[in-house]
Amino acid sequence: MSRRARVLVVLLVGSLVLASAVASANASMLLYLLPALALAAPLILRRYPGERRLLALIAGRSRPRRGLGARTPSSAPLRTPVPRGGLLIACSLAVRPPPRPPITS
Amino acid sequence: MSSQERPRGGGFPIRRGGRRRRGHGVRVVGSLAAVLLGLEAAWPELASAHGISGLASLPVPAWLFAWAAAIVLVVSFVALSTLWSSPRLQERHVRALGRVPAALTPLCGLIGVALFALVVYAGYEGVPYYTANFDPTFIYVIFWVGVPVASVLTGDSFSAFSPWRATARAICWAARRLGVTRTAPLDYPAWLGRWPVVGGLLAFGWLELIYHDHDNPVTLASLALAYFTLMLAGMALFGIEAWTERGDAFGGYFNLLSRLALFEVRDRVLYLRRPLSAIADLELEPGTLALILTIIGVTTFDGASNGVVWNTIGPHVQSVFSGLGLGPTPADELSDSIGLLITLAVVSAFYALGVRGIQSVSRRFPYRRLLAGFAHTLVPIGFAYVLAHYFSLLVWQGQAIGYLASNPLGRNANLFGTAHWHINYNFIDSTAIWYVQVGALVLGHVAGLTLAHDRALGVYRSKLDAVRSQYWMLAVMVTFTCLGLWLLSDVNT
Repeated sequence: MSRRARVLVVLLVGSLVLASAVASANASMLLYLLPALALAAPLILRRYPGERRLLALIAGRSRPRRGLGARTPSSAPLRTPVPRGGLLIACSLAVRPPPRPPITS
Repeated sequence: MSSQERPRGGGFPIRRGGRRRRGHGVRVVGSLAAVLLGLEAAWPELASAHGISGLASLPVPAWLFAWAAAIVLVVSFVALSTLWSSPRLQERHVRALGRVPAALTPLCGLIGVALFALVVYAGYEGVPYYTANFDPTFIYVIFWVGVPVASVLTGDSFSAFSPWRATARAICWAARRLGVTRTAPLDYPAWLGRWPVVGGLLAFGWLELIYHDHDNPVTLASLALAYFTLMLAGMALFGIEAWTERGDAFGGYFNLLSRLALFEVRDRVLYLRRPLSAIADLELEPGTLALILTIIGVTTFDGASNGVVWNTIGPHVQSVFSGLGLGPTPADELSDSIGLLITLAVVSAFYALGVRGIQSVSRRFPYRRLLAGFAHTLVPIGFAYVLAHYFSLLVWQGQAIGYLASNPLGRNANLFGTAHWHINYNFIDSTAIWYVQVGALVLGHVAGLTLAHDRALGVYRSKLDAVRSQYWMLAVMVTFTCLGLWLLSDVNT
């Protein structure tokens, strides 16, 4: 359905509702049905009011929260490995000490 | 939704323009208030013409309740979209609570059969006045309105009390004791689905709302006997349980509504289930959608037929049939029948338009599949319509069963010493009833929105498609809410 056709549908439905309300001398029907018409009209025109903000809210909630995800290396406390046990003996006896293990948190 | 399924580019493919400025919402609310005040100034009589008897104590015009209900639904829609991120109702969640005593089912069946016998006896032997005879109040208030409410509160309790099912089970039990065993000669045809329930509900709705002699006790007793016979024949042909769920109009209707209940009895075990999970698990047999739309449509026509619009249009339709030579009663019944069909068509059209809108979001699913896929979301709305529309009947006219039970034939008996009771209209006032009606409609539609949102999360891969599809369901829910509130207000005009 083209955009012009959709606009025509909205105008036609609105006119019909208005005409039926006036014809049946029951204008209060309009007041009751106005929220539904106000919501339906942009949808028929393929407009989704507020969807950008809604999707941003959803994206904000689905993003992992700070502190729950993996820690970054910068935030991990540095700890110098101290040789112990067999590694201490090896270090003391070796001419060239064994390779230093990677820094772990 | 996993991160891979998100729209490309780290953002969302929104077609519309830039970010909204701050303060826009305030301006929208301000404009809305100005429009409302303008409407009120243009039609000053509307503010007082809310049409609910005894609603003078309402703080605002009744139509503003429709606006408030719409706002509640919009807020619920936003809350669901942001806080409910994965499907939670698409699988059955139950927890066993305990065993049900074996003697309970036969006892309930015995009570059901006794009540049925009383209905038939009072119909033929009682006075032919609907206010003094047991039948009209029992059938139209306790059975037609009270049992659906009880089903939603306690589960499918009617299946235990059903007189035709209890009779059929008793016959089978006796036959087994005598050594006679036989199975149902026919399989229930799959294509028939729930269509017999649809037909039965339409027929009962027509009897209640359109047929002129609908409160004649003899007519009611005769129809009850005919229905009883039909049910026994159906169960003999297709089996007791198969026929009860699909062929018995009342059994199928109450069973459908009982899916809203928190409780369920299966194999004599009482289970507690997650709210709304049983309705999401509804089997989509042929006629299921028609059944749900019939429940809403019949209730809607009940309201509309007593309102201003149909009372303006109806006489014109009736005069057309009178001009064709029909008497006043058949012409009235025929015009009302057309009104019922139009109402069903309008209600169906609202839902069909909503589903067309959902389909326009993503062409992934065919229209018919979406029609069936979201049908269950209308079940809470159907119950909300029933409760809102008949609540005053239940709490006021339902009290009459107290004295009618003591004097079912209307012949000055006093079996239980309650024949002197009367209806206490001060039990609940019109204002409280209005608030209950509004509350029921809003809660029913929020439940429908929740079910639709959960289904959309399970159906669509893209969050954008899921959200957009729910805009359409929101429009459907707001339409049904506003329509329901307008009908309730219009009925009391």
